[in-house]
Amino acid sequence: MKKKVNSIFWTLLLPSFILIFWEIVSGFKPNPFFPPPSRIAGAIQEVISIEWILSSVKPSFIVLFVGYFVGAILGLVIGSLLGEFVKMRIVFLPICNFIRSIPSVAKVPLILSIMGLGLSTRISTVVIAVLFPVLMSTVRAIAATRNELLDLNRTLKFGRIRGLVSIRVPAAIGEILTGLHASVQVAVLAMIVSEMLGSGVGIGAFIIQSQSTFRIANMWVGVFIVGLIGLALNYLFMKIERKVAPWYFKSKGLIA
Amino acid sequence: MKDRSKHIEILNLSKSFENSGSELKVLKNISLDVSSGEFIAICGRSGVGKSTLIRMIAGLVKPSSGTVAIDGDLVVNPPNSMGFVTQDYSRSLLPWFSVEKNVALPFKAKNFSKLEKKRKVEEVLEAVGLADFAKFYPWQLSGGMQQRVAIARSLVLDPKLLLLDEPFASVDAQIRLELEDLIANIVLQKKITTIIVTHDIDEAIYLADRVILISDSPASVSKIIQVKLARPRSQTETRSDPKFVKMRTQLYASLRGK
Repeated sequence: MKKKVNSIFWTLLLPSFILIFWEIVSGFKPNPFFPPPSRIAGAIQEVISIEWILSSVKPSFIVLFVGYFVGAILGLVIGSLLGEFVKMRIVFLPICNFIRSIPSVAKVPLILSIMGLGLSTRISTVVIAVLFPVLMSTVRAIAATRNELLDLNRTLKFGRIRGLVSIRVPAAIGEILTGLHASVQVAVLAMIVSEMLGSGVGIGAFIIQSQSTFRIANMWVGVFIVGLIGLALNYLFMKIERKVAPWYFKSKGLIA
Repeated sequence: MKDRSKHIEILNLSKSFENSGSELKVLKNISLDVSSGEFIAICGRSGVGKSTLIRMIAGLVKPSSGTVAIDGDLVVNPPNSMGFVTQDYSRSLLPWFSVEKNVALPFKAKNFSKLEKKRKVEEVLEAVGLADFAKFYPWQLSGGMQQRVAIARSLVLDPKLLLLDEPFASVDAQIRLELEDLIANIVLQKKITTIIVTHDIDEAIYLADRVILISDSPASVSKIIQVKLARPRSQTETRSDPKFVKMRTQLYASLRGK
């Protein structure tokens, strides 16, 4: 118990210090774009309401979760198959690599012009942003199955699909989870970008609109909320990783 | 005609590897017959090609020339009714499965009733002394215990042939002796034809009915010794038996090239 209190103290030390410093400096030298934390706190009270959560946060969550899950599952399935079937990998991987290399920000105008404004565009942006990195990390993890397990698979006469499902994919779960974890930030980014570029809906749009109408404190509220969502998902993922593949993550220490 | 007394027939087996354009000859013209229930030890220096040889017998590596036949059938893929144990237990066990699920893995591609599976898993876990650890995960166990899990898994389908590739090389000396006795007792009792690859001459003599020494590059059979020591053998008595000591001396002399 004492240990826990202690670690909470050290965790909160630096953020508190930064906030206090910020508050003091903005008192001496006011800058309209850096309102003091006390004013942002006031804006939080002003902005956050049930209606606001329903109109700005909920749409973002839908885009983020639906997009992430669809992208992740597609990436896992296609990545596993490309990991197992080498010929398919040779055919498809260069294209996947190319698409992955285009940043989400550059893909959004393209998706917009094809699909128009709307929920499906925003979800698609997240799906595409998540699919390719997950796919690539899955392919890499499956292709690196250790020889002992490939031998085991042949000795037990499991065949390719059974071997893939019952040996190769679970053996790669640590690396796959790491890829899924990294894609969370990618998904948040894609969500915000798709909302900023013309949709008018969601936290991304809220940030842009607050900025363009000079409600700077509100803009900061939006930015903080995005940060908090990212932080919460990161924490959640750490928990999932240690639950699902303790043998993999236990040996890697507790670094996020 | 299939000759039933010959469980395994190895004929003129050779293997070379392509290595950046040049050909590396590893094994040359190895011939060997193994009869049913016999315990063979293949012995030689590290890197001589012992693992390649046993992996060819297991159907995991394709020979460059020559053949392996088991019960008269040519080996091209891993044969049915074969158990295979490698040196690196931590790499061949599945960390997401408990001990009992690891041991039950070979059943996945077979049709057995649930009850029968459960009975077989319990039986082999008992045989390797892990009955109390069924629910543990491999990474919670010591190295020696993990290797027992791998041995149990290789035995669960009642193989007629057991191939062991340096199975005790990664466990400490004390555990090693225990595992040697464990394997010796199980294969004697179940009459399993067994081939073990080891660089340890003492281990080879202690376990086997016949020790096959391979040496040179490319390696071929350089000496065969019949081990006529009574079974069951004992770590203390057998190893101090004058016959044991004599065979040991002979094999060491051969290994050094006289």
